[in-house]
Amino acid sequence: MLEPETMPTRLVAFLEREHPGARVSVDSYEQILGGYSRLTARFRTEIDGREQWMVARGGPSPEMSTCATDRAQEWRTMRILHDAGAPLPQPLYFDLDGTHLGTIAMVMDLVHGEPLLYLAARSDDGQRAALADQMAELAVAIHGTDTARLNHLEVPTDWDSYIDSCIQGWRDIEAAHPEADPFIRYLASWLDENRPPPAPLGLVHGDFQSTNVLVDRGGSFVALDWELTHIGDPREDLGWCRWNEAIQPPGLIDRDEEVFCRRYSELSGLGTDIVNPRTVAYFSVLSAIGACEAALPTVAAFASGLNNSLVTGYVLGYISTFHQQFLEVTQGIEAAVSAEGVKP
Amino acid sequence: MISRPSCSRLLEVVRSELQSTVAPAVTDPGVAAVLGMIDSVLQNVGARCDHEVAWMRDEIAEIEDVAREVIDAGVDTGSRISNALSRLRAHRSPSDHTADVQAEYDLAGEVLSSALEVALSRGGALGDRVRFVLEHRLRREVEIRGDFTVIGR
Repeated sequence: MLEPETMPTRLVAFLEREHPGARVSVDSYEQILGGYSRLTARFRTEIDGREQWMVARGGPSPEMSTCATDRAQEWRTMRILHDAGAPLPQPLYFDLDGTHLGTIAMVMDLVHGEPLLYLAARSDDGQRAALADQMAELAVAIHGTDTARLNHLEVPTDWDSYIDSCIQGWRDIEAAHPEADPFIRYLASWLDENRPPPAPLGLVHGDFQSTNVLVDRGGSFVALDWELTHIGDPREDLGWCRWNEAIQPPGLIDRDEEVFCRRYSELSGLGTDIVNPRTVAYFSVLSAIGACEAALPTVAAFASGLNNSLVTGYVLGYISTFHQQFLEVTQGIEAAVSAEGVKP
Repeated sequence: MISRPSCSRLLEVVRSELQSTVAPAVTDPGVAAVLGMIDSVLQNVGARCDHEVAWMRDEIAEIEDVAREVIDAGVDTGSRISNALSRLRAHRSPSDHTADVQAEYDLAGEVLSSALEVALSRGGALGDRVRFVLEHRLRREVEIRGDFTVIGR
């Protein structure tokens, strides 16, 4: 991962440990572009003559990190969710301390397919409507996953205390950052005073967006990147997806938000008072906490010279975009409330 | 020192050369993504470098004005804005060096945050007035950032 030229040899040794006595070969190792937070590569293996394509996903070196998350937690989450039937690639192996692969990394089965964003980009409006329906189905499938075995994830006591903790999280992020950020402080106050009706808490993917969904050869959706997964409000995923669509079109939710929300409501059983464009907008800004919590410490490290990732420098553009969204979304909801005389 | 051409002009030429000479020679999508990010960072730096200190000083003055208005309106009951304003005034930048002005700007940011928290909970014209300062700050950020496109995904 960190030294791609050594990876085929490292992977052979690693897989031989996992399959004692087996004949192992690795070739066609190739880095995959796409994610900012992790190093990802695909490769072909033969284990006792059986061919399998796999993906390795690991963290960059600390000075090149763009996102502070826990690989071991992601691995454990993926294993449990895969066993529970959630739509994700099969996790296969884990190098828990980076001894074998040079960095803490997991190996999973390669899903042959293409990112949903690419498929959406070359689809017409009718096809996008069908993809949006399928996106709603994927979200409901994730949110409805049994979380009983995910005992390594914090379980909030109730909705209000969970939202309290998210809002406090925003304040904590701002306090820990080396530069005052009035946008975050504004957002935290606004979120506190404009709470939507509660929804049942459940599994939240945490980085739900069309770049993190692969469409396999059979047309099924498979969700990737489970590093921000937690127990929370399912509307966080819808809001975060909506937020990303604004900077990375074409969108599937924002194609027709009312239709998407109605579809999600039908499938999930949650009322349209709970899932609607205004509540999704609320969660589009609340849910940005996951990305900010992961990215701002690396921005701070970059500012002090402890992080040298170009991506971190580039991410400053994302932070301005967050600020822009904070104001646009909060003012948009206020305008809608004022015009319709309804609560968010 | 040589002050002309300006820093922004030099960066403009560097960006142009990267786009016209280097980018067409790059075939590796990973390297092309890196080049795109470099251009985005250079665009940011180019927008900031000639004005950064003046912009921070302008905004500090604007924040002080609005903080005074909120205090005068009698809503700073916990003295949070007053205390933040006192800290700002006690730690003025001793020079025009960027790091010194950044430290003062950071204290002004805390004043604005406190003013937002106090004024927005009361709503009305006072809340709108403080939010206008935040909107002004955003306009500057967006000007610095330029059009933002996601690169390498």
